[in-house]
Amino acid sequence: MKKLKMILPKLIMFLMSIMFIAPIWMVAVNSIKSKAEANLLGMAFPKDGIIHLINYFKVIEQGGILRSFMNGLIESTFSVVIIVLAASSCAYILARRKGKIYNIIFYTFIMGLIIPVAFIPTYLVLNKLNLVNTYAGLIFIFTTYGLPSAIFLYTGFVKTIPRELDEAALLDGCNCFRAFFSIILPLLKPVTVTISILSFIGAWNDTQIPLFFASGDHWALPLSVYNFYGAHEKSWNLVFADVIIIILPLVIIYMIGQKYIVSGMTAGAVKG
Amino acid sequence: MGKKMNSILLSLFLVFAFVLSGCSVETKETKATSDATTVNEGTSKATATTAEDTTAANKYAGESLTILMASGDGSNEAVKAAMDKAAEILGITLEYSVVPDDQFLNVINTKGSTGNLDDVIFTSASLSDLPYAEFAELSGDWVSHISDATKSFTLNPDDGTTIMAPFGAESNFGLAYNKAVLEKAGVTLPIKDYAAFLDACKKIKDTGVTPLYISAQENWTPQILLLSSFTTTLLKDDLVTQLSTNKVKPQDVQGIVDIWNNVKAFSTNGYINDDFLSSSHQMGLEAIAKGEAGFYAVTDGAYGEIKTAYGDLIQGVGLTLCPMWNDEADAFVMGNRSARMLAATKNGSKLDIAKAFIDTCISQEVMTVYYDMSPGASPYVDMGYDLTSSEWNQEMKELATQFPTHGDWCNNLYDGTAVMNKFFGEFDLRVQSMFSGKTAQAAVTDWYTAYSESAKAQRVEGF
Amino acid sequence: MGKKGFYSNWMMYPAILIFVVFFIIPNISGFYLAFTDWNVYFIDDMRLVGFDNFQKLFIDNIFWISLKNTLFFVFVTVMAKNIIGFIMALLVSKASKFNTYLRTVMFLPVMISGIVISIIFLSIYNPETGLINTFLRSIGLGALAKGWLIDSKFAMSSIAAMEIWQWSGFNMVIFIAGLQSIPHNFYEAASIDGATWFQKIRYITVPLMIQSFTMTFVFSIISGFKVFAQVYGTTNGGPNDSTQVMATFLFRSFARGQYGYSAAVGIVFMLVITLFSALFLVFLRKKEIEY
Repeated sequence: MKKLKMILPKLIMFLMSIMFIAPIWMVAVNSIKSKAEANLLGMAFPKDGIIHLINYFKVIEQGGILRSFMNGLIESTFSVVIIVLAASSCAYILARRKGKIYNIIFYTFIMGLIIPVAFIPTYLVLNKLNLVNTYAGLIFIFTTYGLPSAIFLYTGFVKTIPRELDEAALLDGCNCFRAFFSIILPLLKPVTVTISILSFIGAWNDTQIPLFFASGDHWALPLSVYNFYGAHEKSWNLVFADVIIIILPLVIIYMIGQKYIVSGMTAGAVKG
Repeated sequence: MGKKMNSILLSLFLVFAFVLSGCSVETKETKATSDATTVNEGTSKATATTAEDTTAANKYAGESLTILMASGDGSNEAVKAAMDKAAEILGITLEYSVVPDDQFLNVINTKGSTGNLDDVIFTSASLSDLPYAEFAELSGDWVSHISDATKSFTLNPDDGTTIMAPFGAESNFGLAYNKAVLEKAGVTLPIKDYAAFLDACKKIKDTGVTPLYISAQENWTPQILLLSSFTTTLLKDDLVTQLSTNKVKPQDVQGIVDIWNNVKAFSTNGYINDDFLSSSHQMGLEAIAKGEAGFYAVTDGAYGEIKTAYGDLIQGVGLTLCPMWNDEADAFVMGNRSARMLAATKNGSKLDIAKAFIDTCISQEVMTVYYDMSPGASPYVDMGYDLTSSEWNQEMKELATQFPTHGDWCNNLYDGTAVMNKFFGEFDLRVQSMFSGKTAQAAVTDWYTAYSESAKAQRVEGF
Repeated sequence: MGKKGFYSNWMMYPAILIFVVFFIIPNISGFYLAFTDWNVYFIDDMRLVGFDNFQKLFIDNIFWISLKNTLFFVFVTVMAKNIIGFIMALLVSKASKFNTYLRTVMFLPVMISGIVISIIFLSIYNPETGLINTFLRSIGLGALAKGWLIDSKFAMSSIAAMEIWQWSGFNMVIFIAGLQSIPHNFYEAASIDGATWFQKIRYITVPLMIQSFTMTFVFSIISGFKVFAQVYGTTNGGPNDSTQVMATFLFRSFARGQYGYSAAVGIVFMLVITLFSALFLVFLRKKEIEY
């Protein structure tokens, strides 16, 4: 009886994990079929027995994969860096200083979590600044929409760092900036990891923002799907090959950095 | 420890693979430029490249153009193949921006109004809301060869200059039919009205085959049934003028509700496939090619699709009228002008290259690439060469000697203008909703609501 | 602290600057736009129309359907994501190779783009050839096979299930953190007192994890209200508008080029979320203080 109790939860979890893997399997298996067969969306191996690896080559060639990959890398990395620096320093002030104005600023940032993107006005602003279809433009937009949650988490976390540390720094002759960068920021590492990961994934996977504010040459991987997926015409085999390619980078990063990702998120979550 | 090693190795391998693929992309570009130079040197290639093309190839080699497309076109292999061929001939590279269909209009208009438009636009001519003011006047040889049916759609509505180059076939919409199935059931063509069509369906059903295939999971296929049959209904009683000035609402016109109802009836009369709500276009093509269905409503682009996917089975499939009308006098052949158009941005920095690109697209070499994959009737006349036209277009041409030809109700030229162009009202979704359970009356009312809203936004008189 | 001079406001300015330029300014003009009839056909010429857009909004049947669907979606997914995430966390919180494998697998869907998830599930939910129905039929439960995304009765729930599938792992990770921060001796003391497993959860675990719950609930609620890619990618509001949610409704008017109208929808949308989030935060803060 005790053994059953031990095994049962494990069994349930195992079955659940199958549920998580099955969709990915379906994508993988359909990505190596011919167009006609893949469009029938089955789960089995290709009936004609041929593994159509050519799908991947077609996708890489027609989808501009390498460039999309580099675009995603550039746009996501820079946004993350800016978000971390700007949000943490802003949160430091918001958490430490008291006063109505700081409350207002904090809640205005929170509004950023709630209000949906206003595409046309934002586009016009970008246009005025000549930032349409540029890396800088996209990075600024990603940053803007990543700031609210970052500030939310950072503010909560900073509040748990004792003010005595600030006072000690002041006594040592540091000004605000030095105190922040040398002492506080290192202590914020767990939250930084969490935010970096969330913002990176958010920017990497975003399909609405690059679509509107930039053209094909600045798009990241997920948008390459539209090369194979139209209202009139769906080449599922190519779409799925593309999907596998899109998922792969993040999966790899996740598998390598898993320990750090999970521990970073957990530590950030508890204190935040 | 072993696991970590594995993941590191795996990631290294993938990075390596990415880098390799990147190299192959570059090789493709260098290959394109070296191709251009080989043509230049006069090495024999069995293609008819004129001297003008070679000088163009010489001039623009290494340049790049940005091209904006909707995913409906961008995911079409024949289109992509043709575009790439033209780029290859000129020695340039194309940077595609493929946008989801329902965002195409927004993107192109926003970019147009702020001067950020891509160099080349590839679009569907049935869109009436394009930023025409941004398109440059085109003047290749081919301008004088555009067929009459297509001509009006290539002109700038404000000043009558040619701003769009038709690309792709003039189309016929209708019912694809499986010859063997019809023969076995004793059905003869052409079928002249709805009652006769129901008879034919019964005969086919008696032989154990699905009479009409419906792929209602797609939102663009069910509408073909009406796109190829609705026009003559509107030609009666001056309905076009009445509807376009909001003097009459379509849900109050019995003739309109009746023909929509004829289509709706199929969702319950047992003459269609059981899985119609979840079946895809591909499944419809397969059913008609393999004789598992008698009829399937298609555009003539399906000819190329069936040929590519099912090879010789295409010989057993024909195209005929789609008789949803009650009165035989309303019978007609649906023939449309070319669906796809190329345009160049007037204020683009690469206007010359864009124009050269378009001229190259309308050349025998590139058109052949397209028509071989997607046969049809070319929108150009007397070009001096023949393009693969399909047996389907031939069949419809023959029917056109018996019945009048009209375009689809939305793009048809009523007294010379495509008046109904502004009143699409998400027609595709309306027809699809009938298969999801809406009554014809409700669907027509929804159509009115949608198009009147859009007409109001466009400040059309009467709305 | 009194050292007002120490904390320099300059540290706030970068974030504020970016935010003002790219968020505040567009939204303020968005606010103005809501009162015009600006649309794609007359991009250079817009007219003020007062409250017309809002009127149109409130008499539109679809708006109310989208509101109802959104609330349904939020309720179902927030409950399920947190409960499932919590249970999963309980089951895999101990460190072990197997648990690490499970954690990885459950968190994986979080890393996949919303559009991609929709595409994957479109094929899974296919009534004829999809994974789910094929599986049901193969174990003899064919009667349960439904038209998941094409039957208006099941469509919204199917989309909710997809969302739960994707994001439960995210909540799980946060809960694992919370679980691991509870000292073991609490449980040992409870065991000595004879507490059952369930009682331990109820009186020790949950109260001590209230902060984690706050965080996951807030994120679940906000992302639930803003749900878009999942619906857009699978049904785009169909069949027959039965799965319209606020974000797709907003997007539809935007895609039709009715920019003024969609700005008005955006404002109403924002008010709804703010209202519910505020209500919920107040409720949560109360519970937090209690514990």
